[in-house]
Formats: sequence, structure tokens, C-alpha cells
Amino acid sequence: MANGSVVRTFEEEMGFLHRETPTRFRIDKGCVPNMKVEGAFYVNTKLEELMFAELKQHTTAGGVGGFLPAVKQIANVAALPGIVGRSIGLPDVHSGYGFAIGNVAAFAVADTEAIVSPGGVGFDINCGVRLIRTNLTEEDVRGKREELTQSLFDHIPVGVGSKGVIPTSAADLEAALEMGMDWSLREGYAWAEDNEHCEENGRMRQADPTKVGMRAKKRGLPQLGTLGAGNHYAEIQVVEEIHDPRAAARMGIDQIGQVCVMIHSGSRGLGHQVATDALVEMERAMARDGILTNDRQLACARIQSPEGQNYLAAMAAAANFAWVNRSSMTFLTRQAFAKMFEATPDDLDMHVIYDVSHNIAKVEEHMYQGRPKTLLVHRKGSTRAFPPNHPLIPVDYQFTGQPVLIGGTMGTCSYVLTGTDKGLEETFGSTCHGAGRAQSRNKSRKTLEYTEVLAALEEKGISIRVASPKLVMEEAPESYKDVTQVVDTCHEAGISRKAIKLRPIAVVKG
Amino acid sequence: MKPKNACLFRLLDALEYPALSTFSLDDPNQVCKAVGYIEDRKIRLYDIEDRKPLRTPGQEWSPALQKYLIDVQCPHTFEGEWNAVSETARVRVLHWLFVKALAFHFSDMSADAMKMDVAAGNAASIAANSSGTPMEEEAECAAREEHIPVDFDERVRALSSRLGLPNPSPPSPNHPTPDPSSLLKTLQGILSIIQLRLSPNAEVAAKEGAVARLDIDDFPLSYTTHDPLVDRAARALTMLYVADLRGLQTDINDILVSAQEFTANPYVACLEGGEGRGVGVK
Repeated sequence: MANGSVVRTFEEEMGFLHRETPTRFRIDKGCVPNMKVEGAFYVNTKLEELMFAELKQHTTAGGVGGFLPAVKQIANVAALPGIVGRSIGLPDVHSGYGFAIGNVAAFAVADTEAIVSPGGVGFDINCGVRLIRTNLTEEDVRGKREELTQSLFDHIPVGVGSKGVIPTSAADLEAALEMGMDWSLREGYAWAEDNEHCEENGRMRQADPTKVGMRAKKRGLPQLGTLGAGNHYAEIQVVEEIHDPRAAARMGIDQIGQVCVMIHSGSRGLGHQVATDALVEMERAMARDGILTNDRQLACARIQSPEGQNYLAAMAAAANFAWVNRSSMTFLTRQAFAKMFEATPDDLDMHVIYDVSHNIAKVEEHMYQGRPKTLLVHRKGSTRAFPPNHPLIPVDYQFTGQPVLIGGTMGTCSYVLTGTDKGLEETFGSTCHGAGRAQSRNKSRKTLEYTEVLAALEEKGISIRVASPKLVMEEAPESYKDVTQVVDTCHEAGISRKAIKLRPIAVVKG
Repeated sequence: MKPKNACLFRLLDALEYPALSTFSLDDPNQVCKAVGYIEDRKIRLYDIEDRKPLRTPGQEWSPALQKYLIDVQCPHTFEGEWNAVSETARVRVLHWLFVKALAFHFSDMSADAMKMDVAAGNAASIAANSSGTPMEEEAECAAREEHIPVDFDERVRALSSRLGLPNPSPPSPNHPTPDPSSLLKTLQGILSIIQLRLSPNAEVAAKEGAVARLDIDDFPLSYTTHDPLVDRAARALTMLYVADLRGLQTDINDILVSAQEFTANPYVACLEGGEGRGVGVK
């Protein structure tokens, strides 16, 4: 039995999967050993083909090699101690470390057996997306697009090894880890309204910088305010379609062609180191407490154990780092636009529409089996999507539901969705986070040429500045699922609603 | 300390039940009295003479309540003696009845409010809302009337029509001059509209798209009381609450911005290309 899975034929595996609705499948108990609850995943016909092709490939290979298929990973998470409801896969789900990326799992905080797992958060803690609006239109930037892209590239440090340009001392870092965006606000890098339009107001109060290791801090200090590499980007986008005019109006979007800036980044090396350190600690805790999992990558510790609490405090600090990081880049973006258009960011109406986290674990109150219950909700490659009237969303969005920012892949469109009551009931108030990888980075490097990828972007009229052009094919649209299919599935399933579609006109990448 | 079954107490309080302090779920006489009150004053399903068994404590009361629950179409019922029923079942029945009564209470109140708006000369309601005696009230109104210009009523009417507000009560044979209290209410409405929609701040907010016109029935409530009227009231209260919350948040933001004057000193080093910077492909 490798990785907790019995070797079966594809047909035998399919016996555990049942279609519940046109967009949802159930994974029965028994798919992998020790499942405490059922699994479920959301797909439409096209995405379903990808999911099942991955499973078929796994069964053909006899369950050997590579990551487990997402279906199996969702089922393995359903076997973790203390899980409640279902282990849920969202339409962009794909294989990840332990947990699939696009997996939501909630654990009862009061259950002494319940666990927290760094694999359920991801290595890039609080990786997320922020959308900043402007009062400019596509017409206003048409003649200045290349210049503006270059200016953004000059202002925001990007790429592997890039260093932040906002001077930060070790003491500043400690304060930022503890205070999150309150630090940015205090120092003048953020506006008061920015914090208001950010999950958790940009600060997780359980953060404890003393639980973040020295190595993590050493990696994080020079990287504060940098974009990073991989799938992270800053894009200048224009509004292409408005699906929900009322919700769009609440977000300050009132016309097609309106210019916005999307920033996708996370906690850089600091978050990665926090996760790595926690995994080592948790393996010891698992042996001590006799915690068994189907997959070694699902290293975890009981929520109430010292290791669990240490991780949650360090994770919160890393989350605060990521918010400060995005705030610093917002500051630099505002500077770039202000210089280019010779107007203040205020005059350009450069407000943060919203800032979402799509790699995080949060303690939340949910109705479970008709009663309120405190749960630790792991969202890995999944975005919180709370409905209208929820107390944890900003006052400006009480009538519309929480904005959910779905970043597309390089050169493809992005979306703004809103949370729904159905999502709160079915997925602990969660929805997709992006396109979701369809082929591995290695495969992309082998099959695509970077020059072709760049030429294709140019053909679409998208300006691009990239620090490592030879790695650009890893992030080519061909490497990902179609974001529109993913978003349409969420909309059809009712777990979030489409509000705005955005199209990129400039990309800045690592 | 929070009383046991606090929700029942809250509902009775909202129903203006006079014997709230002595109500107890465990005392069948008190429950009988409360049920009698809501039927007498709020639900009014039976004719007065038919209500007696429901208001009379004793052996016949439990069957009377069972029949009443069927007649009022309550989805919950019970068998045997009321006292022998579990507390959960008793709470469920009373909760449903009190909510039903509250819906009627709200419906009565909104009908009264509508009447107040349209009826000429609502002196009685003024007296009821006044802390002074009716005589003092009359004297005060008379004093105010002396200061009202002849065409003041006309002007207020024109302004309220312009703003889409209901007009003040027109003069009637009993009140040949404009009713000052009615005018005052309309003026308060006009003031609210001006503050909400026409102040400099509101104009800025409207330009920023922060003010979106919302039909109350389109407002998502996320729950239902199964009574459209109560749902509407809940929507209105939520909208008012959100408006208050926005005001509070704006005040907080103003204070934070003031504090930034002392703490903020943003500084950016080497904007024109730093170590580790990427190089553009163009």
C-alpha cells in the first residue's frame, strides 16, 4: 500500500466517485483507507476530463511515481483526524504537496484529536491577490502602455534574488510580522481604507514573531516588498465585462475599459521557511502522539498541541508579512502611476478593491449540523468567499458579498466574483483561486519555447517585462486550466457569483 | 444573568406583554395567561366568546391549546397534558406562536403608521408621543403656529414632492391652518434626505460610486422569518445598521489618517534600479 492507496484499476476507482449534481462529484468512503468523512469536488464536463485523465494515468502507472492525483489527495485529507463536513476540491484543483491545491478542509477546534497541517496551507503562506482600481480608462493609457509597464517594472522589485526598496530594519520586520498592515499604515505605506478592504484587515492577531525561526527572518528581511518569481505577477488590467453591475458599482467599477492593477504575491522565502521548519517539528509530534496519515506529506500536529499552536502563531506572522509585502508593492504601484500621470494616487482613485488570501488556515465560526461550531478551515489554493451580511466582510460589501479575486494565468483574463450563501453552506464559504495547473513546470519547459510564449503575448497586445524570460513558459496559458471554465463552474455550482471580468494589457513578472 | 429561554422573553417583550416579569415556562398558569394575551391582543383568530377555554387554566386548557394550534396552523403540536411535554417541545410551540403573534403585531403597527401618514389631523398620536399633558401640547402648537408664514405649508409641500417624500397632512376642517407637528415630521424627513444624498460628502461618495441605489426588496437578507412584512422590516434595519457602521468606519479612518501625521514617514531607496532587479525584455 503506497501513499495509503490500494492499487486498483481505473474502473474500480471510478466506483467510488458519484455525480451528485451537474457540477459536483462525491468521493465515497473507502476510496482510500480510514476516511472519516466523504470527499467532494466541483467540475464541469471539460474539467472533469482533466481530473479523470489524471486518475487514469495514476492507475495505469500502478500508483507509482509523481504526486498522487488530486482525487486521491482529497480522499487522503478526508482521512485526517478531526475533519468535519467534507474534504472539498474546487474546480481548479490539482496535485500539490500532501493536500491538493484547490482543497478546503475544516477541523473542529474543540476536538482534541483535530489537526493542523502546513501542507493544507501551502509553502507560500498567505499567497494572495490584491486588486487596485483607478479612474483611468484604456484610452488614457493607450499611448503610454509600454512606458507605464516599464515604470511598474522599475518600481516593483521582481524576480529570484530581488531585494526590497523600502528600507526595513530587523526591528521593522519584527513589528511587521506582529502588526501586518497596521505596520504599513503606521509607517505611511498604506491608506486606512486599504486595511478595511483586506481579509482580517491585513493583520492576524494570533501572530507571534518569536515563533518564526531566525532563518526564516533572515530570508524574509531583504525580500519585504518584492514580487518574487514563479506564478507571481503584477498586471495592469482593463475591465472587459461587468456581470453584476450593482456589485461592480460597490467596488468602484462603473465602466468597461476601466484600468485596474492586480498584484499576486505571497510571503516569499519567509513563509516557505516557516512551513519547512513546521514540517520537521510536526513529524516529531506525529510520532509522539501516534497520528497516522495516508501520506507522509500530510505531516500535521494536533491543533491544541504546542507544535500546532506554534505553527498557527508562526503562520499568522508569515501571513502578516505577505500583507505588508502586497501593501509595499501597492505603495510602489501608486508611485509609478502618480509619476506617469502627474497626479496623486488619491486623484487617480487608486483604492484597494479587495485583498484575498488563497493559502491560509483560519479559525472561523460556521453552522455545522445546525449548530454554530468553531472550525480551523484550511484553504490551500482556495479563496474565502463569504456571502452578503457576513460579519467578517467589510461594511462596503455587506450588500454584495465578499469580493473574490481570481487571477488568471499570464496573458489570460482574471475575474472578480462575490461570495454566496450556498458557498457558505457547501464549501465553508470557499471558492476557486485561479486557473489551476494542468501540466507540470518540467513538462512546460520541455514542450514550449519562451520566445513563442512572449510573441503570443505581444500578438494579443500585452506589454510584458519579465526578469527571467527563459522561465516564462512555465507560466504560459497552455500550462494551466482555462480560468473561464473554472470560474463558470463555480458560478454554475452557486458557490460564488461572477461580477467582473478583467483583461490584461501589461504583465510584470519574476 | 440571562434568563432561561431568553428568546421567549425577548419575543414577549417585543409583544409588549405586561406580565413579562412573572412569566415562567414551568408555570402552566403563566403560559395560559401569555397565550390568552397574544390571542386577545395580537392574533385574534377566535371570536371573543370562543377564547374563554384558551384563557382558562385547568384541566381543559391543554385540549383547548391543542385545538388552537391546529386552528392557527402551527406545524408543532403535543399530546396529553402540557406539563408532561418535554421542555424542548414546549419551547418550540411557544416560540412559533410568539413569532406568529409578532408578525401580526408588526402588521398592526405598520397599518397604524400608514394611517398616521394619510389621516388628517393626527392630534391624538401627537398627544400619545408627547411627554407633556394634552393641554401643554396644545399651547405649544398654538405658539408655534404664530411663527409659521402663510405660505410655509406650500413651500414644504413643494420641497417634499421634489425629494419624493410623502406630503404633510393637508389642512382639514378641524385644522384649517397647517398642522405644525405634521410639518415638523416632513421637515425632519427633508433634512435626512439632504444629509444623506445632497451634502458635499454624499456628492463625493456618489461620484465615487459608493452610493448605489438599492430597492429594499432586492437587498439580500440571508435568512427569512417566513413573513414578507417582517422580512422587509429586517432588511430596513440591516440597511440602517450598515449605514451606521459605514459612518463609524469613516470616523475611524479619519482618526487613523490624523495619527499618520505623527507616525508616517514613507521612504523609498534606489528607485531607479536596485540590486537583484529584473531586466526588461524590451
